[in-house]
Amino acid sequence: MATSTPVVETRQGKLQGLVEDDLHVFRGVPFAAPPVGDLRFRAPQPHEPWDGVRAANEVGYGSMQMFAPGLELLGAWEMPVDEDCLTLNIWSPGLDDAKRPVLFWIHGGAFSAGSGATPIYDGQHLARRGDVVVVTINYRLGALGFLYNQALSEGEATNSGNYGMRDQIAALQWVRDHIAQFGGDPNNVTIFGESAGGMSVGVLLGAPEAEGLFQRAIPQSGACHHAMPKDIAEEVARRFCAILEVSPDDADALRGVPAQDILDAQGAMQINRETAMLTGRYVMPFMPVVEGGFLETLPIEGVRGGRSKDVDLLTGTIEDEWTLLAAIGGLNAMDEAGARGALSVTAGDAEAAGNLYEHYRDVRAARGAASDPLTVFDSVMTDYVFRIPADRLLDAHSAQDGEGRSYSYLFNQQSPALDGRLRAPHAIDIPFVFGTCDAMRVFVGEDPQTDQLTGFVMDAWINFARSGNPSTQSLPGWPQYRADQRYTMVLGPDVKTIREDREAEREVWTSDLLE
Amino acid sequence: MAFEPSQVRTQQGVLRGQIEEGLHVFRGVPFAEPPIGDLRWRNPQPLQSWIGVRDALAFGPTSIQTWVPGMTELGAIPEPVSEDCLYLNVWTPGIDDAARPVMFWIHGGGLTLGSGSTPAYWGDRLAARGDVVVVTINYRLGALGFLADPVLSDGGDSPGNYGFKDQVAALEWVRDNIASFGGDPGNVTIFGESAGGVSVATMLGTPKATGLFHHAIQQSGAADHALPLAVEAAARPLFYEAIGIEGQPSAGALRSIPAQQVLEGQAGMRLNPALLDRLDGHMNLFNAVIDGDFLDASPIDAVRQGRALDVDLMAGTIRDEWTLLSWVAGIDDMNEEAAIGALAPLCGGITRTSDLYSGYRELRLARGERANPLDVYNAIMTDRVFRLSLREVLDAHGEGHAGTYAYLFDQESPMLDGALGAPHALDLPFVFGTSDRTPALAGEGAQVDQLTERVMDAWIAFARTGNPGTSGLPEWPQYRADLPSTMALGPELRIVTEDREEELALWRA
Repeated sequence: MATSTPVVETRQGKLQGLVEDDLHVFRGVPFAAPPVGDLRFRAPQPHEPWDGVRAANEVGYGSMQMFAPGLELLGAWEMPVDEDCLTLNIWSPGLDDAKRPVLFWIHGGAFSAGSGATPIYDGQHLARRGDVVVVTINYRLGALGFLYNQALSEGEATNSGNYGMRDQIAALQWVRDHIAQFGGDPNNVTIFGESAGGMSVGVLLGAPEAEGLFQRAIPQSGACHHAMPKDIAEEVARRFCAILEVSPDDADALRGVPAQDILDAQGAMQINRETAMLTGRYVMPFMPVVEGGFLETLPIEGVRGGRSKDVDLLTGTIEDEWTLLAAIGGLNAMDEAGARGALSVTAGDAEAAGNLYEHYRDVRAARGAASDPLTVFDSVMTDYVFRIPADRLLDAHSAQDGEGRSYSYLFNQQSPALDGRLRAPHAIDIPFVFGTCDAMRVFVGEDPQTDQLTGFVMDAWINFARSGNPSTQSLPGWPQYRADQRYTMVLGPDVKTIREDREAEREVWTSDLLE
Repeated sequence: MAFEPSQVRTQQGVLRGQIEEGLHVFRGVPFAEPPIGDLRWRNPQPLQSWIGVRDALAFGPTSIQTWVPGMTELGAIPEPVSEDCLYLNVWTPGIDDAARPVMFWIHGGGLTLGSGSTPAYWGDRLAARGDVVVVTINYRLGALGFLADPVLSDGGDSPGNYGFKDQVAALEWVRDNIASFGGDPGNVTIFGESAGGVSVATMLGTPKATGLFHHAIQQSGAADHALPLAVEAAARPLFYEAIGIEGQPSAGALRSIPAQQVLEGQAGMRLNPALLDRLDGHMNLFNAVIDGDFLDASPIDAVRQGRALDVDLMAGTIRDEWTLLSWVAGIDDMNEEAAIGALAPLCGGITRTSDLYSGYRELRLARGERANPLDVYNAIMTDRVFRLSLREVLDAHGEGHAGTYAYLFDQESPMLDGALGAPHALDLPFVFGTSDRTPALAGEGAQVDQLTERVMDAWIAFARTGNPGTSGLPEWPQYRADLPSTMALGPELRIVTEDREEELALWRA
């Protein structure tokens, strides 16, 4: 309920938000110039100043993306989209000098979908419960956000690619420059994100340009291994341009193609088996790229080299991440040949895939865990994409001599969706972090335990944002993670601290397989 | 842009197909859980839901089978095979509320070959011409589809008939989902040729398919095919022998045999001379079984007892069905002794077969038709396997209230310089409008094109109303046992009421 209309002065002009109950809310705040026309495929530029008061009471357009029907249980909604998408949203308990911790959310969606305005990321509950300022952002997605084609960088100060990542940095710079006027502390910013948002946090941990823009980081189900080598990205661009029937060398033509054609070409890429083979190891065709400037190495190498050693880190994964990603698109059953074949796409060849398959099957069977082909496949993919990279980040970060602390968690909350066969799936952390279980009841279920766990998780995230330590009075002791004592907080029906989880599976992961 | 997606929400989740020349096409749509692992030799299980969008852009694998090179002439292409094969394909003019007639195709191939994705069965032409929704399906074939060992009932399923149960599962998918594809679940026509015609008969005969379809077109398929359990039990050990199993295997052992080994055993068994004896006049071990649950009688008897009499039925054969099957088997010549020897197990022994042989030979000579031993053999097999059984179905079905229509294809194929006459499978390119995809079989030219239009329109009209009559055809009266009016579809479109009745009389003697 809007009762009065606060106005805040920014460098570009005045913004008028809303008061909703006890919070000040600003929606659709532009943090960079619309990346349209000649600004497409360029680093984000400062927004032009405006005269008078600009309304900030409605969410902005989502980034260009295809609506994915059937994902309503994950909070997907058919939002208006446009290339003019670089806005953020703010929930603040007060427009005063209180210098509250800032929680800066980077949404997921495989770098090709999602929005900061999605209702499951409603920041009001965190803001109210923790007396913190919550910011959610949009960034460019898909080819518009991640196409890597050097012809596009001619005359530019920056390399091609990573436009979506640069948008995230522009939003962080906006926060640095303005959040104090919204009651937040620019010197206590926690970046957090899930899935591709977690991977984004991982990239920001390793990207020189992000240094100093945040003090803490919570990559959720995403870490520092999720960037593509530039030769693969170049080949993706070549194929993409071929579908568009535009020469890769013709930057003007690429900036002139209708945005809908770009989406359609992305769709055509998705169904191309050769492209799937080319990018299978990286899982997504459009994603951050190690192009030698924005990223000189995989982000994990940056962390190993001491980057972000003073940043506090809380990271973790969910026990059965891949079950959801298999069920999206209908992979409900597989035989052994199918599992080996699918793994060879990610592992690079049939022999490596066979080794992974057999190792997981055998160690699971030895523990008495399910070892049917689909479960083995899901387990390998969960570890390949999520758990092992998260462990490597924790290992690298905790080995530094900096100020930053390292904490690990594991969600094992079960979803009742699809008759429970997802077990503890990808994305189930989101409603517990944001306190938005009511928006995802089909996915999280009705059990009162979900409310209790929501309280535990929100308080841990809030405490971490405030102090760099997620411990709370309600949780068991949460020791820091060490490579030789891998303490992990289990968040689920039975909240507890464990060490050395699923150790036998870890042995098989060589750096060749991952990096 | 080459790729125009089309999305439909089914009960199990959203499917993404594509728009091709104005039609929405969905390929490789799952309609049951993959029958793999412990689900081999079990009833098809309800399809699990998914979230997000599942691609339906490529045909699903076909049931495990051996590629037969001669199938190319019939419009088939080699396709990936897998036990994970329960997929269907949909061609629809619109994903709207138009509630179009649904034409549900069950492919042939002796219950051991074929797929719903064979180019000759692509539904694009029928869907566009008739403003109908065309569905083509895969089902489990061969031993994997039809082994009926009671040991496989460990989960409570009646043994066998799995491939037919798959067809019912696909029909249930149509009932539950086809409205979202612009189709009318209240107006479903099942049609199928050869083993697909056998399948149509099976759908007529099983109580499990009641209400799932409203019209049926049985093309060149028998209805007397179902095996009594005792016959199945007598022949089954020959399969185990061929597969290298001694004694009675456990269900677990059977479900862990590599699929390729099952396929090899199935082929090896056919070489066993004892097989036909054990089959007691039946042709295939891997066929329907009268299990008392899925089937309580052979379909012809079920129809005689009154089942499916409210379904409009059209049925027919081709004049020289068996010529093609002899050609596929590599038989291009035989003497009289060999012909009688090959016919005897299926025709009641040597004495009766000799009588039939002389009778057929004389009737053919009297009409001025070729009567070499292979010609006589082909004519007898055509009647034994196809025409007699279809006449019985038509006779029995005509007792009911629904429409009953008969046709006879007498269009000749140019294949092998016309040596096949009007062979088995020649109806397919005319029904689907795909003669350009099987030119060797169907021929080409204005008459082929015109007949194609007449046949497609008749099939479409039947699907729409239960009556195949169109303005392009002579009046098409219903078939009656005492006046078997039959539409001849060939160079001359006409109603015949007598077609080689003397040959049929020989069987009744």
